[in-house]
Amino acid sequence: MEHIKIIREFHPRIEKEMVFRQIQCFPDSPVYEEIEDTFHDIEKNMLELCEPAGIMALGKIPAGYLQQEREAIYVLVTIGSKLSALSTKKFSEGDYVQGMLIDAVADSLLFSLEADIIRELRHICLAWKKGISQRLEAPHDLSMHIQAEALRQTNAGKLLGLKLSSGYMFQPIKTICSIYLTSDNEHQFKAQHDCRNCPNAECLLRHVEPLKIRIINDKEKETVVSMADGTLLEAIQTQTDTIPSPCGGQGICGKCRIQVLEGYLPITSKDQELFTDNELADGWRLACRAVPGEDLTIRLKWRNEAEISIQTNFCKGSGIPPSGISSNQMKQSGQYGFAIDIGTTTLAVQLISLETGICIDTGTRLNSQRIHGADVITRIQASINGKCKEFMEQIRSDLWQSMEILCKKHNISIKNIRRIAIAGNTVMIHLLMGYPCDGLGKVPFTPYRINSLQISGRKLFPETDYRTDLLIYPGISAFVGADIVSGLCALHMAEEEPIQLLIDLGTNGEMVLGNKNKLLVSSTAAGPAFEGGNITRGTGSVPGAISKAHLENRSLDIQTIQGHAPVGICGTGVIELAAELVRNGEMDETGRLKDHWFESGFPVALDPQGEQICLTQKDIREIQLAKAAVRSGIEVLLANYGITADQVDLVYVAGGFGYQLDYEKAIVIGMFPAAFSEKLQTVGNSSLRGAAELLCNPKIMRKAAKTAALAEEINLSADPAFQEAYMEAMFFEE
Amino acid sequence: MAIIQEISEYLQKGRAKNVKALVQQALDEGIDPKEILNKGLLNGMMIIGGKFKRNEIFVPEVLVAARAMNAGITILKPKLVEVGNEPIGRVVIGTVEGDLHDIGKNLVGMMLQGAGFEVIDLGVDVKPEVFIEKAEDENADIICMSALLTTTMTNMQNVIDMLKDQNLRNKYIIMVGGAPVNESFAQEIGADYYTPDAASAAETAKDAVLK
Ligand code: B12
Ligand code: FES
Repeated sequence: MEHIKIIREFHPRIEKEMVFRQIQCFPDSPVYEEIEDTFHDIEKNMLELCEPAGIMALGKIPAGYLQQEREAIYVLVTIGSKLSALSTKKFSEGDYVQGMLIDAVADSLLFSLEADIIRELRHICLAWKKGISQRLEAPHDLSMHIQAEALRQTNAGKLLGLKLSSGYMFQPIKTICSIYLTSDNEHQFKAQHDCRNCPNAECLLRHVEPLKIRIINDKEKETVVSMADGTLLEAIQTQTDTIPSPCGGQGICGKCRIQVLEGYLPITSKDQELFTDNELADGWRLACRAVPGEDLTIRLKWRNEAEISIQTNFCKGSGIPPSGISSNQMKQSGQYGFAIDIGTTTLAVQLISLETGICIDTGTRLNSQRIHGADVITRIQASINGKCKEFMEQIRSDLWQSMEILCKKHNISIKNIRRIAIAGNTVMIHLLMGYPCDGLGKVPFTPYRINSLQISGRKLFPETDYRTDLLIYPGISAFVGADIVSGLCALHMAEEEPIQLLIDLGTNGEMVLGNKNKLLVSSTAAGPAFEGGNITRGTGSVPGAISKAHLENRSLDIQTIQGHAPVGICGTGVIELAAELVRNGEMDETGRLKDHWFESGFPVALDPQGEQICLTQKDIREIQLAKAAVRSGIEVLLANYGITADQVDLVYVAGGFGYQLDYEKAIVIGMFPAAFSEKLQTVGNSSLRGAAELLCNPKIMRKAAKTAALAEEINLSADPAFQEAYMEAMFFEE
Repeated sequence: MAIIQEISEYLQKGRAKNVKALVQQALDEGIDPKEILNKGLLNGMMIIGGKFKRNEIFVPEVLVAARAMNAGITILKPKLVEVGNEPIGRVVIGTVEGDLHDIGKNLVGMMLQGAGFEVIDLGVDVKPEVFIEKAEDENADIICMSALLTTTMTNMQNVIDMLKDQNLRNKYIIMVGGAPVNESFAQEIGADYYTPDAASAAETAKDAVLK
């Protein structure tokens, strides 16, 4: 086994907020704008001068440093010496502003590599079958001399050209050394830096001072909480008012919004994704992401409109494009592009700077075609029956409008749009391109065209510049489309050794299992139940939807989205209820409710009209079919791959619904194998992320083509094992 | 004189372009370059330094002002050489051997320049003998050493000891600084001055050479 790994693939990025904090430049500074101008002048050049490289090695911390000799992974990461050299040069020329900024930008770039490193480390740990129990840094955890061990054991002198000074500092200076103690528990992964363990109380990047937060709630009542660390949401929830956080503080649902009345609260990337510039200027922030650096006065108040949140987020380690810069600082020059995800119901369009890879803004809208049918099958039918051209025009105009709005909002000329990258399911791409859908509607389900496309943007959007390229990801089959290939690229699934599983929990239930050597795909007809469809009192993820349930001693506790009066049950709620009913014996494992609930259904809550919201026997059958489809799909894929569930290293759950799902409950009802318990990870809109990556790096198209070619489709309905697995997966048991 | 006052004020606001134009104008008007330097540029920097020390302004304002000062000096320099203007003192500055942290040192250098010193920057990872050689070559008044690591701060002692060995200790004013350094450490190793930040470093240096 190879125990030294060199890492060359990084996604360095500049976090403006961190840079400005480091040089202590805040928006109220009289020279803020001037510094900002300089920042934008140099920003682009900085990324070019950044030469990231990293190395990890499994080695030993010799006895003498800690109580005894310990096994550890040494990690060194650097951005090279060009930026520091430029900073020094600027200082010597008397351009202190640039000198200082470049240095801070270099630090930001260096720290941004951490996300890539953590992701690599995660994979290496899987490959080496190690867990991480603690992260150590010189000189507070180990003496500075450990840096000499790090150099020796990683062989980074030879492999990366690093040197050590007599004071045990690495050259280039922009190098960080971190050391991770290993453990035998593969599931342990305590690798994140924690400011609380660092004795450097003056660090400008530190986040732990106790602060006073004055809170005015919606009834104008005032309270003061103090916070030492953690997020604003945690401080508020533990010390005073409740504040809705349906996504569990992931910065996705946008429900924990608060307004800052006094004091400065930094804008996070999530804030930029969810708020408009005006809202940001008015002080709107997400409490769950907020780590205040000074005393604040805030107002608790949330918007009440019944909106379904559209998924545009993505979580996996890191990657381009990060959001960093708020739009009003954007100039009208430069090159930009759009990353687009065409969903059956919703469209997501992301405006991205091609020079920095920074996501400037994201726009979402509903797909206008949906009035002609909610799912792909009805769309195929309508298209065959003469709607082909209308659909094509509709989607193009939807997308064009979204792009125009974003350009206007950020004062960017259409001429500066140089590239558009698109992902979407096979049917959506057919409709976009105006391809005939005949083959998609009948056995053996053959697409008209499935390969990738690289054409002039003018073909679809005549008003774009003649230089605009348009890229569309390749698909795999009629059922597994470009959106999945895009997600696979974003997750690097077809490039790595560990065996990973991607499940898109939508109506089509696409799944992909494998690694760089073998990739199996399939899709399973999960139906609309996960989105609240076909459920008697089912509803989408709207305020008031019952989303959490806990049953103990015959007393049922429920939670609704945003804490509103209950209006119905959303997909997550249905799964939670089913799990609680089985756990408490109110329903047997075949899915039959106890006799006294059988007729009327299990009472869950009263709606504002005083009517009983029940989970009926029929609802349970619906969810049973949906979860059985998912589970049997997984089982058949595993069987075809020739492995068991515990041989899968990581499981990604994509799709809007996956975000709020309590995986343990999904395991209780048998939707996922129990062996997945520690491995399930939510990834959100991986398709949009893949499109963004392709936009920034068109070479990814080669990778995409390889991935699509590697994929082998398993047709579930034709697989006799599927029927059997399906029947077995009907039971509500682990 | 109004224009000199204006130079100082524009400098404090960090307006490099205005400072440049006004310095040129002042020269054209035949004003003594020394006066432009001392009462315009350096006076402006002194006010900025004071404000910084009193926490009235932050690093960015200082940087912008210093950049404007530098723009002015660039224009003034040839004239200053002509009239034979002498800086108030010469400083060699560097980060000690084994240490590569340079931002603190750079800021100290910047403020010293703003106080009217000629600053010779030796860079980082500077060996004790290099500090001494350069100080001798440049006929320096002050040696400034910066260290950010506990493992490297002891190298300051080496420089001082080496100076003593060569019987040069009393020829130089020695100043030390950096995050882990403090007053008592400075005394222990036999340095002359320690200051916690760049603005007070410039003030202290000025007082020391004028004494
Ligand atoms: C920025 C920084 C870095 C940057 C380098 C930036 C650069 N180009 O210099 C990076 C991220 C690369 C870095 C890396 C490391 N760093 Co570092 N770094 C810092 C940090 C956060 C700020 C230093 C700085 O630039 N401050 C801003 C300037 C303006 O302030 P200053 O340097 O203190 O200077 C002011 C005064 O001290 C004074 N002054 C300075 N010099 C002089 C000289 C004279 C004569 C006078 C009068 C005054 C004076 O005036 C200055 C201006 O007001 C400090 C923490 C801290 N708060 O100091 C740690 C710190 C210095 N680093 C530290 C360490 C340990 C490291 C690493 C070893 C961490 C690691 N495990 O990887 C690495 C080593 C990297 C390597 N190559 O091997 C430690 C040192 C601990 C110790 N006691 O020895 C510190 C103290 C942080 C900590 N507590 O952990 N670091
Ligand atoms: S809790 Fe903050 S956005 Fe969901």
